[in-house]
Amino acid sequence: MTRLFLIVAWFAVPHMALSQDLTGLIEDLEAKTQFGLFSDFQAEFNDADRNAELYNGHLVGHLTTKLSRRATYFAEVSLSPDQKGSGQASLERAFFQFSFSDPFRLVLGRIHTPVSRWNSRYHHGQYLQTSINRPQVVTYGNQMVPIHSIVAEVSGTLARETGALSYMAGFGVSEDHGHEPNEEESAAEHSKNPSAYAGLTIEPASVLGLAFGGVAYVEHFDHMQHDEGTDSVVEYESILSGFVQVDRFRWALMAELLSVSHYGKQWYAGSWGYYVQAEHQLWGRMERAVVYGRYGTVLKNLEDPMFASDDCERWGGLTGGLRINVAPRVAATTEFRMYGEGLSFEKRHVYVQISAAF
Amino acid sequence: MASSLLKSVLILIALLGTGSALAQPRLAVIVHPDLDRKDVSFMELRRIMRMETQYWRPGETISLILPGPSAPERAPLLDRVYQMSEQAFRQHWIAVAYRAQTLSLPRPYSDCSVAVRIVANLKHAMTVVDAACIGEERVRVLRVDGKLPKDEGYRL
Repeated sequence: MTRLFLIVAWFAVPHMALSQDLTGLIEDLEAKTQFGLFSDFQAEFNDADRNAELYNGHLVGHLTTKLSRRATYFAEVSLSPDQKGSGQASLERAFFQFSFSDPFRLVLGRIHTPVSRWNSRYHHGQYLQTSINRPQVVTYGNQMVPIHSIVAEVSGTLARETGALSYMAGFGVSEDHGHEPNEEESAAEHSKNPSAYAGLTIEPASVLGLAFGGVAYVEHFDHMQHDEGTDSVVEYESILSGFVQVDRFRWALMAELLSVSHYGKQWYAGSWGYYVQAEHQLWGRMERAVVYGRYGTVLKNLEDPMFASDDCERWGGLTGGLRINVAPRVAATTEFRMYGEGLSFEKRHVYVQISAAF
Repeated sequence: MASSLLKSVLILIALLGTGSALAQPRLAVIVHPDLDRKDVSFMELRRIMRMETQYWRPGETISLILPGPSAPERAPLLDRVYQMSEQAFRQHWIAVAYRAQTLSLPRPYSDCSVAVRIVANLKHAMTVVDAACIGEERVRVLRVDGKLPKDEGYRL
């Protein structure tokens, strides 16, 4: 219990003087379990129907338990309100991780499908992402990206004087393919489809904070996807994504591009999306404030049976906001978002959010 | 009159600046003396400090000890190695835990002499302390990009 208190205290109480007892500190180096929580509360106002809504956002808990010198177990559970106002619990991630060295690590279990940098870095860690909303191309429910996978993954990093090269490769089954389940969807869309992916990230030493890379992903639909009224059939999906990220002292830049294709009797390409986000931490007395802006677009090939039910071929959105880190683990953010078909930006929303990490 | 007043103010600012620069501790990267390492590149040091590199070699996990919020080494370390604000630094460790990036998070110290004693007793431990704090303890100071804290052009 004392160990747990020390772990929590270091992060939760910024100016707390920790024990200077040498034995205690050495024992603490062997701490076995870490816990974390994220939560948020959000208000949304839109100008279309002059409506305002309040959301009690997610409550997300995660823990890491060290099982041995090389093995850990990680689990993440999300509690979120559903449309009817009651709570919905879901197991987000649960995996065993075996670390042998920096170049070799093995993960077995349910993870966030690492096809998008955003999906794997932030996901339900709302406090960690500067903006309130996710970029449209990686928004839950847009069917562009798979959200979860149950996999066997190997990953690692090779670091040299010139920079670092990280790799990952995994195979398994894909779940929750880009949308939350509902009663009207076919069993095929909920099926667990075989999938595989591989990705590389490069961090050159010559440009501090720069990282870039990409991921290739392929999924086989066990139940072929039909577009009713046509003989179009989709058997395979492939996603190619690339990102560039620059993380410097007071500013950060993140850009990501995803291209989605489907194959069956025909090849359906031409569905893609990207976003570019820039953020800057202010100076002096305004040091707690971060301003940010993002432009994103999604283009869907409506001839693709997977996107045939969509009524919007091209979507564009602009987002701008101000995040203030009001306390060491609490942020208040306000965000303005305008978006719509093409470049019309006819929908306008304002969001206010409090997010926290415990 | 105005220009001499301006000159005095500029001299005062310069002196205060020099004073604060002198007050900044020169940081030393220390490890256990039995560890088979004598130097580290700045890039490797930065990766270790961010826990992107976690092993000295396969099977030998680096036990990282970092200055806590009240330690005088904290601000210069954030400035020179992490190149992060205090807020970003805290957020970094929350993210590391959330991404299950590491087997165990670094431990904090508030008194550098305690950190030095731990490193002297724990084979795979590493920390960054004020070079003046090392004293008589049996630890090894790593060269950073081939330079020791006393050398000209040392980055920490």
